[in-house]
Amino acid sequence: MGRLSRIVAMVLVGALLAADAPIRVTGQILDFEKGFVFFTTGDGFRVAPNVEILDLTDGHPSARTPHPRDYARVTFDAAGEVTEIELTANVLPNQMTYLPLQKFAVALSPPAPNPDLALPTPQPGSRGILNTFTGKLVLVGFTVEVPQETPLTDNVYIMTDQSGWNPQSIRMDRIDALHFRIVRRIASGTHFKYLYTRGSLATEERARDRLEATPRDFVVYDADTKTIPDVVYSWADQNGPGGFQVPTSIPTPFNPAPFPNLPPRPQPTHAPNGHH
Amino acid sequence: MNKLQHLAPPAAILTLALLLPLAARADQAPSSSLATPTIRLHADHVAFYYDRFLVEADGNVRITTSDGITMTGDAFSMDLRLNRFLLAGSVSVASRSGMQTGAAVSDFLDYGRIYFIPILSEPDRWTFLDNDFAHPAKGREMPGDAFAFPDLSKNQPYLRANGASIVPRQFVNFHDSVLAFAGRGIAPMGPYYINFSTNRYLAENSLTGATFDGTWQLAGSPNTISAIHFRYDPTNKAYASFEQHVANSRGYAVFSVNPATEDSKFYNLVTGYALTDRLQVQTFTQYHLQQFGFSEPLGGQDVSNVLLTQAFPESSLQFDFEQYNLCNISVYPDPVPSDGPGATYCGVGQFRITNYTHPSQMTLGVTSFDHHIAKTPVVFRWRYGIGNIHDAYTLQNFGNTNYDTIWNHYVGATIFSPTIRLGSREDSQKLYFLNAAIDSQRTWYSVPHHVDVTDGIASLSRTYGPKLSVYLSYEVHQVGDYYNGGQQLVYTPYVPIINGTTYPSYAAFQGIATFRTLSLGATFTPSPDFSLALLARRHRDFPIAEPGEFPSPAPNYPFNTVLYSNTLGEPPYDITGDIRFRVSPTLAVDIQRSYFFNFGNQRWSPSFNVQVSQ
Repeated sequence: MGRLSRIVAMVLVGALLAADAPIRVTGQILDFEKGFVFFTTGDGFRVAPNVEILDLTDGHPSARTPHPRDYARVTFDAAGEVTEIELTANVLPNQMTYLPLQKFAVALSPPAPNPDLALPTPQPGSRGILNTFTGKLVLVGFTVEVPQETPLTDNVYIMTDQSGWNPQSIRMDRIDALHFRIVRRIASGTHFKYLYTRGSLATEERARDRLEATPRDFVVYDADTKTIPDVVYSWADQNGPGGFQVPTSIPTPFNPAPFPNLPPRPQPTHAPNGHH
Repeated sequence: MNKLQHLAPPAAILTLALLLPLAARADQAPSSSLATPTIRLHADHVAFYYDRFLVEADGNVRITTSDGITMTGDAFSMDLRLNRFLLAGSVSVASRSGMQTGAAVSDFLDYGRIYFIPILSEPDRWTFLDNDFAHPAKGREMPGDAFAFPDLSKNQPYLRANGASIVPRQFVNFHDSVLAFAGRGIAPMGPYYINFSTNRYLAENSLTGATFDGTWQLAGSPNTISAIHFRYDPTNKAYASFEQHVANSRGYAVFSVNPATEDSKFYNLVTGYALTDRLQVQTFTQYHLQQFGFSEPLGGQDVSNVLLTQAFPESSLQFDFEQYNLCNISVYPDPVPSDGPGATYCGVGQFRITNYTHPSQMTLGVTSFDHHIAKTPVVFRWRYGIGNIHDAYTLQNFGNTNYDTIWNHYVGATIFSPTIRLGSREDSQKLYFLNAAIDSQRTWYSVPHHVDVTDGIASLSRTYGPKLSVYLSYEVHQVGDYYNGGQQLVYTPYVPIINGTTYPSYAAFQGIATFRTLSLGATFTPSPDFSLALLARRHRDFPIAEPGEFPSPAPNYPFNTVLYSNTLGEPPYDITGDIRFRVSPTLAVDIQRSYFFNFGNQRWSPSFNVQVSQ
């Protein structure tokens, strides 16, 4: 729907330009000074000396001058001068990028190419595929296999540097006893580091060698889908050698009795010779 | 052994000592002019959008950078994650090359590119390369979004301020800040520090969980954070805690007082440090003190833990040492020591206790990496280790012998299958996934017995589209405590009589328990901001659970570190519901409760478990 309205607007702008009729487009203001109005495309347009500044909602003259962040509908005359600026605080679509308007933009220097913006050369072995970032939404699925010791009642989360390493940033859905999954639409160009947790930093994952895990690096390139299969080898709170049962009773936390809550004997008739 | 008992606190201090000089050195590291100049921002209105890591400023904006550039304008916007800022509206830029005026300037800090719209006789487009303000690249094409403001129509600021110091890729420190809710200021906070560096060690914490935690980070640097936490939990109700973080690229130390506003205080120190790329040390030290305000403690206990991990090419070696002082008269002296022969007390008044144990344990163990069995997809890993448990006040009495030191050694292995796909391979909606794993460990003790623990689990799962997944699992967990020739002495069969009720089925128990759990779970996630999970379980255990037969395991007061894995008496049926929803871009609420089908008149779990998180 949005794309359709944009195409219709472009066609209308083109038709109006061809007919030398006044053109009305919307955008967000960057600056208004010295006889020019600038929009967030970076383009500056000459303002007519008798420009009218109105309030878009009621059409009455506005008491204020255009200010950065304001949204506006502007009217160009056939010579490309802005004759009317209608201000509003409401978000308006950015129509300033339409090519037919570019000829009205004022700039002293002729355009020069920017090598920073050139497409990169495909890397050897990439079969000509470019890893590009256009902000396109990519369907990304994270699936993680967790260790067998993971309690069935526990949740698994992804924590990222982009959320300040909050251990409950992204909650995953359990799909079986040993796997969790989450699917998200993420814009290409997104880059973050992440680790898995069971909801706290005390339960974050450990590496295969039981050292602290190095955060995984995640980059989304332009694609339709992306699947991330990960494995958690152990959790920090289950990382001790031998899975030692601690503590199991009071006041001796390390009493090696494996059952912490046996029922009381009805009538002890002799000194205990078993567990404390 | 006695010498080892005081190993843990010095290990924590040693880790801290290693960390502090390095943290300080990182603070003083010089930065190149292109790297990360500190940005000092002043304006009539400054707002921070925590959910998008945006700093927005309007009205008389003035920016000064540590590399000598001053800029003024009407509106400022900085994306802390993208590390770029925009200043627009009657802009002036003063550098060593002089003063320039224009409509807007946009600085892409990571790339050394400053895009500028000067207004001379007419506007132009200039690009300053690597901060060279004397030689602009004129007319050069600019990125399409170089001068774009973010759309904030659906966002509310987290806090407002009148200035900020921003160290790119590290932290921002707001001045005269006011916490905001629904667009309105609700609480003046003064300075407010927010770290957004990729150093995860600064996020380590030493606080126990709470129902709610609101954090005020009042000061910080690239390597430190000082924070006050406003918390709530059902035990302590509302209280405040203090936490100090120190970190560098190799390790961290976190100290906290929690709750700082209650008489029962926990002083925690958590450290971790990578001594080499393959050797790490982690420590945890906790003192629990009963004290009014910060006066002399009336009683207390402490626990320390050290874990050393050395990685090898196909395995890892770990040394774990843990020591408790539940009543250490050298730390918590008894003011009235004349209570009779052999009596050992510590603490004062109502906190005076006779709980005189100070047990310790250490274990040295090896765990292998995962290996395939022959060339099959089945994977296994093994472990082996030795350990020592000590308590001068006796751990166990067996055969008329008191044991105050018990040695043990163990061997164990885990075997698990790959995911096996069942059903239609053409229709992913009709695919079932089967997983199975089994783990077994035998531990021998110097007291003549051994404990076998075996756990097997298999699960079958299926997804119904991207929003619903269902799984069925069956787990068998068996624990056997075997006294060769002495089984009848330790596990003498008897029929418990509790409150007049007899439990004859328990008479068959002789130290071998089996826990069988059938689980049916489903997760429904209609949107990223809402999920509903249900877990129904059926337990068929031996000894058979009957209402009132098995007492609740004694809580390990005051340290909430208890891990009960072999608790007897699980209700035969339970169902747990868990709803998680996001109430704002920065806040999520998790509500959980269980139902026990009237087992021993127990229907619902005592209360809802509510967790508020960011």
